[in-house]
Amino acid sequence: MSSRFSEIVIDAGNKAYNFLDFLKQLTIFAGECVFSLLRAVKNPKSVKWMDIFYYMDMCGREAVPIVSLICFLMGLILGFQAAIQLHQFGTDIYVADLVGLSIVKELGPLMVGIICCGRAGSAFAAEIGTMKVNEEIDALYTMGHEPFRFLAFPKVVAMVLVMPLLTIIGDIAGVLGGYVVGVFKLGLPTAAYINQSVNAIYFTDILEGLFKSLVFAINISFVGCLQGLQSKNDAQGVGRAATTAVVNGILFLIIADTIITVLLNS
Amino acid sequence: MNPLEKIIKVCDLTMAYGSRTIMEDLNFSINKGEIFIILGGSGCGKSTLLKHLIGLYEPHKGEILIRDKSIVTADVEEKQQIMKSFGVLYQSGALFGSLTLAENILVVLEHTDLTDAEKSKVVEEKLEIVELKGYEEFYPSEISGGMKKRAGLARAMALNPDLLFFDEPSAGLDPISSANLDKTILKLKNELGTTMVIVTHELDSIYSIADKVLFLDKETKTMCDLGHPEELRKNSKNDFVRRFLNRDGMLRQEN
Ligand SMILES: Nc1ncnc2c1ncn2[C@@H]1O[C@H](COP(=O)(O)OP(=O)(O)OP(=O)(O)O)[C@@H](O)[C@H]1O
Ligand SMILES: [Mg+2]
Repeated sequence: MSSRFSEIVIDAGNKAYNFLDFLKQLTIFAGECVFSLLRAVKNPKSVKWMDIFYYMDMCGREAVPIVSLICFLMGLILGFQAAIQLHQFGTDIYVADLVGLSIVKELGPLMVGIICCGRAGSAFAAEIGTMKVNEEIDALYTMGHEPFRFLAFPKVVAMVLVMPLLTIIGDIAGVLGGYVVGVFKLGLPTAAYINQSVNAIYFTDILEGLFKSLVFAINISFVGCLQGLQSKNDAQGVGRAATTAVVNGILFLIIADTIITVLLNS
Repeated sequence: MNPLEKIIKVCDLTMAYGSRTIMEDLNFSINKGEIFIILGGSGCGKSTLLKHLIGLYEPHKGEILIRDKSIVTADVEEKQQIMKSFGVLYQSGALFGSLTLAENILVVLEHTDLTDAEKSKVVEEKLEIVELKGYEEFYPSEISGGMKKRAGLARAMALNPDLLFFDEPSAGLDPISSANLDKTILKLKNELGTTMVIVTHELDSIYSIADKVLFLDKETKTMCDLGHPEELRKNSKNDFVRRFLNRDGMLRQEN
């Protein structure tokens, strides 16, 4: 009995320790990225611009259809749910407010974050994990290259550049979803719906969403790269790293979202 | 310069993965300009030893000095400095999959202040040495295993370092390429005085290039002999070493 108990305690302790260690690594990683950024600004020739474009294309352009579709459907669903409630009070037009604000402030960045985490975060982890299996990380290191700078930097920069853009696309698609409900289901005039949306959404609301997406971008690329570098040296390890990158990525995303929302709205 | 200057010294080295000890109490040193071969059964820890020598793994116990500087206690900057002074060929080749062969070599040259023209000349020259001319624009996924090995070799030699580490350079090569590789290695030694630490199983190349052979024993988890291959063949006290070098009884030994 007591050995079973101590096992559980030890296990819990180990898990807590690992989590703290992960946070520590994340902090170090953040520091290295800032350091890399300074170095890159000082010496722009050392930056792999082609790599940045490659990742912008992979994480940005290729994600546009799925981001548009999911955000559009999100807006549609929200619109439907809101329409049922608001119709009872005869305030159909407020569907525009509800959908617009929820999408722009919250669901747009969050959906884009989750999609990017699934697409890019796992890809980063798998890519770096595979490089680790092939001894490529060792090779980089012995050549005097800092693996972080070499591998993570282009990814972080690319994500920071594309995620806000994706979020804007997602916002537009989401509002469009609400518009479809408002105009075709509730029979609101197009002009009224657009007018109501424009009046409801302030510029600061959009900025809040974009700020969130920036934080998410850094969070997703950090976690993805870090899981890749920490992956075990075999195929299963790489698979695990990709899974963990997505799960931890989404976890941190939601935590960050909560903190930002509470701070900005209190 | 003292010809018997020690370039690598290993003292009481014990290597372990977690709680699993791989090798204990290794003591040896490698002279400048020497071809030093590491031998031992598969899985006994040769690659592990190599990775300790180049500073990728931290020893469980003991000290490793490269040019009298400890690679064990060095801080990050010092370590990078030491690492830049040698070239490594990894067992898997370790070419960067997203880069062409030429770009793979250019990665090494990035820290130098060669002009672009000089860099591409180095690339051409090194690929020529390993008989891979014309494959500059190929990606690692488009060439064979042996070719990857040779490309890795070209990359390791890119900066003409005076210290090279090779993990099974001739694995996956046909006998002729393998012999050519031996010639290249001897040429590097004789013309540039390069020190080379090589893991290999090829007896022919051991006899033709080795100055010293280090035998690792999986059973006792330590080194069992060290010396010139011809001498060891005749005089080694260790049965396994004599038999190995006489190409004798390897099958019986296994069974
Ligand atoms: N990353 C690792 N984690 C734990 N154990 C490892 C790791 N890498 C290697 N080992 C173990 O260490 C031992 C030595 O491995 P190593 O790769 O050094 O062998 P080797 O002598 O190079 O073999 P080969 O001739 O097949 O290349 C093996 O038994 C292996 O199981
Ligand atoms: Mg090996």
